[in-house]
Amino acid sequence: MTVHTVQLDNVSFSYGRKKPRILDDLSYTVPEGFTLLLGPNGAGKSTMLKLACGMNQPACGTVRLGRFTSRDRQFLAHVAWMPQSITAMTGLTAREQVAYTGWLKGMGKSAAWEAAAEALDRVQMRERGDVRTKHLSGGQLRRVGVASALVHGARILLLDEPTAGMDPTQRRVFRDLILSLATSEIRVLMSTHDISDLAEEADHVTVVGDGRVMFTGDTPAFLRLAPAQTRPERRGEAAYAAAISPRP
Amino acid sequence: MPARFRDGYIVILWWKARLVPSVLAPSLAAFFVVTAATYQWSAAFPSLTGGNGTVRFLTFVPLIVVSPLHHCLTQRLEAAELLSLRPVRRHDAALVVTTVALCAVAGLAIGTLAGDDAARAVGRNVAFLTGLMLTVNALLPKAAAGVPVAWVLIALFLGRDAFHRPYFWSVLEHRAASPLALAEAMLCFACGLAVHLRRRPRTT
Repeated sequence: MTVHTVQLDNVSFSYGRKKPRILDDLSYTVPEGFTLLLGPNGAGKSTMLKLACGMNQPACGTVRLGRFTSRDRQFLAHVAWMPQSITAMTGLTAREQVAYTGWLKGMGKSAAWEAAAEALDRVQMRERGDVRTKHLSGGQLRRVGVASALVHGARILLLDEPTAGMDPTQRRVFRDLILSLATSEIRVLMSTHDISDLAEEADHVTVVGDGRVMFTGDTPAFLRLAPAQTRPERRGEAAYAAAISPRP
Repeated sequence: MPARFRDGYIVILWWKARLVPSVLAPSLAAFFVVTAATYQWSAAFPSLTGGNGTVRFLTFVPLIVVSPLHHCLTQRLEAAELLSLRPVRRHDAALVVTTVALCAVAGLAIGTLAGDDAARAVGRNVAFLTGLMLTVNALLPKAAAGVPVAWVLIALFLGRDAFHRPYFWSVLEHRAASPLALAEAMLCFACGLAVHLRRRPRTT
């Protein structure tokens, strides 16, 4: 089966007509496997993810998944977005919240309930499925967020800084979880600032800055941007610094 | 869990997500009880536009429903609902219409049985304040919770002339049979529903 991917073609976007453009004539294709989306604050990472999931529509250009554009219902059925902060719905358990998300995505009622259990299983949260989301820790709530993104069988997962605010241990556990999800059938694009933890684990790295893609390629190519004398544990950060620095 | 029960259970999730059983249903029950128990209550109240008048306690009663309704409508899974393939906003609109209809029927029933004009008008006032809340919620979400309360106070302090006749715009203080107040309330309610159905919540 062909796995289509999300393509942004010559996309421009601003939050309001008189506001400056966040993205300007940007073209990008979400690669296979696990891709890190890096960039300084305000570079347009979140905006790019919101366009890629159909949350926002571009002022110019198109966002496509195969033959569907981001305005089509079929597009929304194949793409999942996990925002930075996950809402804990008052009164709903983890399984109910995930099932509710599945139902919102058009799943049948029984299917959503069953898929919620499976999705929670994939994020190692099955035993906490009956706990109200208000009583979950921040890390557990992020897992519920990932389960909600997975519940309807999306092929493209877009994660907006899911490790922000996590301690190093939580980050490591979460990283392993995300790596286990990125398969030949599921593409994961994750924005983050935690370069050192993740740079060598990702299949691809994309760097955005000033509303455009400054680098995109596989991880070895990204790490080669670092100066030759860089210590191994610093290569990710050095490569990132090289990617965002203006070129002559 | 039997499949038939599971099927119904997921539909109930939307109700649970919107806090219908835990917040809206009790507030509706409170509305019915308070309307029935207090329709005769009134108190002297100063008006800023001339003299003192009496105010019916029923003027405040719509807030028992409108404020919880606002709270329920804002209990949303923001990201998932913005990317939803289901008509969630239509579900919400149906919830709003049902709530207002129940209040109107209860107010009419209590008002007719008790022969009280203000009780008959309470449903109209719920519709007006709900419409106001929905309209403001779409444009200035942070102000939406306070606007119905503010309108009640404005109507009380500034909504009557020196002869204690309500101004055309105050709506709440008009008699139940006032066609103008009814038209204003229906227009405001329809406007609120239309804005709620059409306007996409803002993302930042």
